[in-house]
Amino acid sequence: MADPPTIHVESLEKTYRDGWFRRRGVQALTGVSFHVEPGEIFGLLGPNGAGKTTFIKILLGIARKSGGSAQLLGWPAGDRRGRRRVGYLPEHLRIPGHQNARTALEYYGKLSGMSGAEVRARRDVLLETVGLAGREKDSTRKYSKGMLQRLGLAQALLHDPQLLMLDEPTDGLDPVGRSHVRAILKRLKGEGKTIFLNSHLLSEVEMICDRVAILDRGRLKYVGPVSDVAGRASEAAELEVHLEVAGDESQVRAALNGEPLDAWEQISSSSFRAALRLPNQEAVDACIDRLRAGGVSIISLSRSRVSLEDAFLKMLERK
Amino acid sequence: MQSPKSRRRTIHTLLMRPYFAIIKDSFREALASRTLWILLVLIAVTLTALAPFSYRPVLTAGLRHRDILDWSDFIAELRKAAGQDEPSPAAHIWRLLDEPTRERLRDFQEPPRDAAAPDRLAWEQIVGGLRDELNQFMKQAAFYNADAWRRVNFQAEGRRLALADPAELSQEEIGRRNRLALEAAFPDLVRISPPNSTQFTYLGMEVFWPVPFEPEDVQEPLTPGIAFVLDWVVGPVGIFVAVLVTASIIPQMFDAGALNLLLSKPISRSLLFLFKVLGGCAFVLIAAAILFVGLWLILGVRLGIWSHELLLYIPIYMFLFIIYYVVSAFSGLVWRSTIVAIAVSVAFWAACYGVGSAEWALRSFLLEPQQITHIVPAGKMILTLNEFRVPNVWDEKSQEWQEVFLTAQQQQIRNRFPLRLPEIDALAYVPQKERLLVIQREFTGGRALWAGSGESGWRRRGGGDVPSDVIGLFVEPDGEVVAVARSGVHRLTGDPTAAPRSDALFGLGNLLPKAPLFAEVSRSLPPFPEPHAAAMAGESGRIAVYTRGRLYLLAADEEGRYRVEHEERLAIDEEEPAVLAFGRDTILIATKEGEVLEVEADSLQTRRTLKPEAASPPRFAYASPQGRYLAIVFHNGKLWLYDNQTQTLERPSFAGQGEISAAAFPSEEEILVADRAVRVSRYSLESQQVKERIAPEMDLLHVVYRYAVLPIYTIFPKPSELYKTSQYLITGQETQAIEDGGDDLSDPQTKLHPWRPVWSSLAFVVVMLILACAYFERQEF
Repeated sequence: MADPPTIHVESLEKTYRDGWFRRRGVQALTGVSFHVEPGEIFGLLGPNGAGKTTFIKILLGIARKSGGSAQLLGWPAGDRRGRRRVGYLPEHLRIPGHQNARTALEYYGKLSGMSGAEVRARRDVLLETVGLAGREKDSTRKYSKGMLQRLGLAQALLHDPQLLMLDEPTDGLDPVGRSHVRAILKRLKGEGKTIFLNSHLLSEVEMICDRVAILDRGRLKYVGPVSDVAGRASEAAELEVHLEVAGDESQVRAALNGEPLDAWEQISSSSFRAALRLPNQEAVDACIDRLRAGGVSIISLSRSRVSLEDAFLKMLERK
Repeated sequence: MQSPKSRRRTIHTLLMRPYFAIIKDSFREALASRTLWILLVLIAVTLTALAPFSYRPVLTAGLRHRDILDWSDFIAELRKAAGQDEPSPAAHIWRLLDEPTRERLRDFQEPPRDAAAPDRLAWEQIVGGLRDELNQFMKQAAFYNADAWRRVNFQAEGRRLALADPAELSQEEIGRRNRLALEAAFPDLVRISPPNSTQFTYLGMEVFWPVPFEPEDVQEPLTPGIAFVLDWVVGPVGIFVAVLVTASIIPQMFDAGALNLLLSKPISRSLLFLFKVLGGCAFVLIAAAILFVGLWLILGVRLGIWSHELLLYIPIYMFLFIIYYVVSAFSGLVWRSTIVAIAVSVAFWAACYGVGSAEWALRSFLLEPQQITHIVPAGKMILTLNEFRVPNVWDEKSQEWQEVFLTAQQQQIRNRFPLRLPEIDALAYVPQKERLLVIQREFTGGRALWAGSGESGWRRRGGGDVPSDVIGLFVEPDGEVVAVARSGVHRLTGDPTAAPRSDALFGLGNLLPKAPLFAEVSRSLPPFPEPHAAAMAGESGRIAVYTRGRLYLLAADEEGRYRVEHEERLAIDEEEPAVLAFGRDTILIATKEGEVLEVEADSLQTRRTLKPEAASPPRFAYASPQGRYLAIVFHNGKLWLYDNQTQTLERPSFAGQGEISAAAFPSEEEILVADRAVRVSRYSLESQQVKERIAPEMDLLHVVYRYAVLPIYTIFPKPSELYKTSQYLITGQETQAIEDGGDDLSDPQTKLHPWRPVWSSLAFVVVMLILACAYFERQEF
């Protein structure tokens, strides 16, 4: 029998109630349904206020759902048995200043149900892994944001969880640190761990995630492979074309007739730069044909690629 | 294989492991806290400052100002000896004095007490100068001169030192010899000193003069002094500091990034909160343990006071702190602000103080003065006395207690100021003459016998002299009245209503001699020094007198003169006061320690010793007219009834047990019991069922007290009363004497209710924690 999904949500709803009589309601999640398979790296994307953190809080029992269903590792969301197998790195992690890396790991490890011996057996290796070896006895007051983030990652990994829920894991890390974290996550994926990632750094999501879900104002916009995001976006997206041409201005303008120009610049008396939007490659080809037919020389032409970020923004614009 | 028991233990450990981690982390946080270290340094500095304080016994020597009972007379004695040739101590001392001092003493007279301040100051300076000079001489061997002191009689200690070779005496012994020589030379003017005094030292240096008490006598007053400082200074300050230090723990838990991580862990929210609270106590536990163990060690090692009870302050302080801390933690949980948590804790302290003060003020000034202390069945009427010694009679018409037996002026004053009347030494109702007799003290210091009857509207009459130190006033079976006094038994022979007496305020101004009302009717009785008590068996007229651990049985002979029939030394400490009840062949003696001796009247042999109310001294004891029933009312408001037929002592199921303040037997079938301050209930002794109740309508203040203040006070925590618990644990007594050490058992005592603050505070803590847990469980973050 196949393993149940690591995360499974169906028509998940969340309304925050506010005010004296809790009459005022803010809809944080509306009918969200998707699942995360074991062993995949899953990214949750969305602008601020999209409901990403609420989603994680519901899964971990920090907030309660208002409707629908949510399961974590086969247990109802918030169930302690499910939480026991989750390693969580919250956004803006704060570790009390009276702790150092060793005592913090001991504390959080025991909160996760580990024994002292178990903590001690894994602690030093993990600190080495996240690059905090040698600083383990320093008070966390002396830690930079990046060091705290590494320590947070170590505590999330300490009890060898089946699922890692990471909220902005590379926040505060330098490029080397980010690369380091990416390597760790890829290794964990190799070990069969499921990783649920919530990040604003779309390039990173693109680099390491197998699948993503996009939330916007509590509604699910997309769920599927990362590679499909750009494709789906590009289906409806215009292409941005940058041209440098030489010829008579009237001929150039006539050849581009009807195409919306984003920019126009005269470089010399007979050479020009232009930026324009075209709906697809056929339109690009037709535009080149017209230019050539008008005797205009094409000095350079570039077409900008649709990135995940572009696609993400497109998707949000399309609502 | 693990046994089921060990498996259960393992599972339990696994389940609790995260919470133990919270406690451990709290200790770690406490130790990492700068505030705690500052606190610990302050405690260490205080303890270090106290540690060099010590004392040692020294021979009492030297002269303090108050050691001379009358400096004026002393100087006069010295002056008188100046011109005498015959050697005498005064002459010798006069010769030792400097000429300028002698000059000053020769010329100066003590100015009157109301003289101008400069004159009094000049006199004080002369006395001070003389005292200092004498102190210098008293350190020297030459102060004592055998020839000068040859006519002086020394006590054993003084004689031994006077006869010793001065060369063999230490400096301290010389000082002691000189002091004894001075005492012996001027026995009426120099205070007798104890052989040893206590010299306080700091870092080995002497501090102040030696205190003229043996070291063990110094320890006794020191202990309550220390307890007072701990209860009223260290306690409040310590708790306030502790609340300040710990107030941030719960709000800090809500810091972004910290709470979500904690809540994501597989732990219970309620237990997380409870163990955080418990962990917060780590601060206080560390500080309190160091403070009290340190104090305990210093007192023990340096002062020899091994007061193990001091260690009890650690859990008591912890409990006191927890009461405030749950408020702080709850506020921190709801508002997530340290400042709000502190503010709410301070407001809570003020509320506790306000409720406690309101209850205390209404009880002390409204209820307790009216509390009935004596019930006098006077035929169909019921007379009572209250704590202010004001006699009242129940008025059926108005359904109120009416003040009686007061002069018009006394009544006027009472209407304006609720003053306590002078103490009543004894009272008796003479049924044959329907007359109430009261021996009452006066502000002038004397005592007088007053009489009144229902016919005259209980108007106070008489005022004749009474024998000194009356222990009890009793009515013999034939209706004659006898007063048992320290010096013997006296029978009332005169007419107590006839003696002229002015109606001056509280008897003031009446100092005229009067004809004796009493005649002594005892034969060869020993004196009955204090502590003493007496009781008469109503049916036989025999009198039992308890005095200093001895019991005497007095009986009247054919001539009506009382003599000792039996005498017995009881197993009671000589200093211990007691109350007596005597009926048929049983005498009940209830001691201050709460023991009740059941004594066979004929042989005065103790049948058994009981301790019905172990933690409370008795207040009154009564006997029924024919002696079948005896009763004891204890200071904790409990009444016990002894049945002479079954020889059993039991606590009857009367309403108001715990609030009973007085009782009386109008007959062999009934008992009157006063409770709820002003209510008197008539119970059947056979069925113990109430037959009648008389109580006035409650006025507004009483209603407010009983139905508003008291319920709020009852459910409110009482952190400021936890000292009562510590006092109870130290003394084992549920009540506390208000004045004079409680040797007069009839004097009112404060009920400590030692466990009340514990239970109410514990209930409060539990309720607050349940509320906080429910809030935390339901809250979304």
